[in-house]
Amino acid sequence: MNQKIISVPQLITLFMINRLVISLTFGSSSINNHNIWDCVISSLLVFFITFILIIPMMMLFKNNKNSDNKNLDIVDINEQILGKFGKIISVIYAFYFLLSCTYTLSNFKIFIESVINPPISFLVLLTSIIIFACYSAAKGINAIARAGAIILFLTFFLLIMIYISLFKLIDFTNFRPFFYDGYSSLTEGAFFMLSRMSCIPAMGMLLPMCFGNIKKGIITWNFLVFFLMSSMIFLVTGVLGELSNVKLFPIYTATSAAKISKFENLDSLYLGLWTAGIFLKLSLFLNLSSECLRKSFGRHSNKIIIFLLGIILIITNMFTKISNIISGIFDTRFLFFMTIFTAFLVPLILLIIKKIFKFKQEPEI
Amino acid sequence: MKPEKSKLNFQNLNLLLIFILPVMFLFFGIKKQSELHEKLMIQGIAIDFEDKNYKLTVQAYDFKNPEDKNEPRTRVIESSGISISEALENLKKITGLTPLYSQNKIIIFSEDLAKNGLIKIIDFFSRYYENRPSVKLRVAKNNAGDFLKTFSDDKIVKASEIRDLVDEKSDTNILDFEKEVKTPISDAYLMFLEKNSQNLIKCEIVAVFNYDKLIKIMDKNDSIAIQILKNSPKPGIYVFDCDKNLISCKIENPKSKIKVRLNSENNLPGFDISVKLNANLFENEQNFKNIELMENNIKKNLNNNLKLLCEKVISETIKESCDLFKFGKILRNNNPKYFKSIENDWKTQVLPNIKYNVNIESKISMFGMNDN
Repeated sequence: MNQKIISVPQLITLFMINRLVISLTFGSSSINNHNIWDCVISSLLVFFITFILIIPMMMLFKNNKNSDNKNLDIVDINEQILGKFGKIISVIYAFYFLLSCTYTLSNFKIFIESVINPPISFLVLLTSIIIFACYSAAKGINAIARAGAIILFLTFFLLIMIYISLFKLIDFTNFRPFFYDGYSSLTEGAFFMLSRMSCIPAMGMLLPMCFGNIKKGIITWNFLVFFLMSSMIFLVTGVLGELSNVKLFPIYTATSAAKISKFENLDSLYLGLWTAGIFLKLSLFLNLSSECLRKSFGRHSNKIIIFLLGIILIITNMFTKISNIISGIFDTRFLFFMTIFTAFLVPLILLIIKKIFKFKQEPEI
Repeated sequence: MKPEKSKLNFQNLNLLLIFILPVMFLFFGIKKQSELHEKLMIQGIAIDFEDKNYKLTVQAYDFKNPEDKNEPRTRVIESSGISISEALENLKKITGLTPLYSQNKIIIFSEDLAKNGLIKIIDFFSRYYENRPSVKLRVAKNNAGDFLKTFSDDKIVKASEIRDLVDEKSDTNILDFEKEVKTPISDAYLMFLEKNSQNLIKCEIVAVFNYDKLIKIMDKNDSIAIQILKNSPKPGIYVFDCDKNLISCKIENPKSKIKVRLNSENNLPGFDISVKLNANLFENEQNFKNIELMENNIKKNLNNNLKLLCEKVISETIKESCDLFKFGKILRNNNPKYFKSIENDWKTQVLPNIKYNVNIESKISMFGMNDN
């Protein structure tokens, strides 16, 4: 059971950085080579859909406390209502959080191998970052949230620099009329953004630990996500025009040409921002994934599970190729299904069972 | 009492991690890294195409054999290959040094190479991770390699000096060029390098492209007009005839706006181009009794001359199906339905027949220190 250990601003910080990691890699290749400019409208659509998706989760957690007056998370409620079947659902949550980490690391691998090409092998880099993330994950949500605050401060500063430098390079003729080539980019963009909305399933684990005005926090977070995504698409389209549909990492390409006064090569800021975000995202999701498994099969220490999950991450990411990034387990349709299942369907089913059958919470033994 | 099972002590593990991680990073040092003196720091690359081979002339800093204690030696090395990457790889075989491209300042293409198309070459420079997209591009008259081998006062003219011949904001880099080339409805220009009678390098005229192929090299006045219409902050000194007297003006900060209109009779688009610019008076052979009369007369002549010049440049470029001034993009953004219907024929059928009207509004902000 959970104690309230993080504040709403800390929760928003964690979710914002998590979203930033996805936004920074957004490009035409993510949406089957459709035009990314139309995705500004997709992000607006996703802004409203997100509120709908959150409703069952919010209703489920409303006044959801056990006999010790401690707050139950999605795994606790699952097992309380569905019994042994609930353990399967908890494993699916653990798998989803791990999948989210793998997706992030796959993007990182492709970026490192095709853009940076450092003198050390990716395996060493991957192992190092996962060791640090595991260590941070083992320290607990509170420690991750405190690290998030520091990273957010840096992020804010670096993003302002990147935004100012890119704004000067905007050519307004690059903005095509929306849906010039049809509406498929709108749906592709919305599917992509929703399929990577791993924050909502994470709410299932984090909201019970959170104190403060959650509703206000979620509205702020959703608005900031919309602003982040749409402003990045606006800047990249304005700077690169149709070239943004050709580049693998268009935001990186745009920053590599940007400069402010005597400061140039701002792509290094992008790299710093992204790596810090990846570290935080891995820490958070490794922690959540291990919590799901620990609660279901509570024999082992959380730290041993984190260590094992770290090894799984290293092994799976050794075999990722550039062609895998939008296919197989990273196919947008599969990720979309997984996100909707964990973010919306499970809480909705639990809520229905709870309401219809007037489920009574059993006291903890 | 049963002895307590020994548990993994995570406090000790934390300590262990703190010590192991820095030690792990020390292992990176075991791998041999090339030192600065083992690298060839590329400053400029000139590319020619001869006998079905790319011939590369590279200007680079050689730290192994320095000029003196404070300055590395600037070397010029030539290599060739059937592709750009092969030719660059051959540099290592010739010098024994590892080329480092991230410090490259400029890439110069020969005129012939540019006429055959640059897309393959640009693709290499845009794809290869060590190249920066902010590297400036030039087209050179005749042999490109000669420009990186030019001496002035017994010293080699450095690649950075050739780059600095053009104001940074008026220049075209890899990203700018690639942006226009990858957009099927607009085209790019590059600055053109040539040598004067004293073998000194100058760069004041413009080479115009259709897609990736060089189609026309403009003269000096046409180049000024192109830069005015492209909003380059410093198009240059424009010398014109004003009532049989020569006037010399420095054109600065042009701001052009293009408005589109559709002609209902022939369904062809028309463009109204209005340009506001600053002109500083440098030389004036005329004598006027008052400054107001002088200003009005110069402004009137300057506006008319620049209008004719801009219209001439537009006419010459659109005849070659070259959309240098982004008419296509502006039309698409204003009338998407109409543009969709003509998109495939835009550059071949529609662009050469568009109507246009240029209106120049100049402001003379500096008259010099003479009262006439």
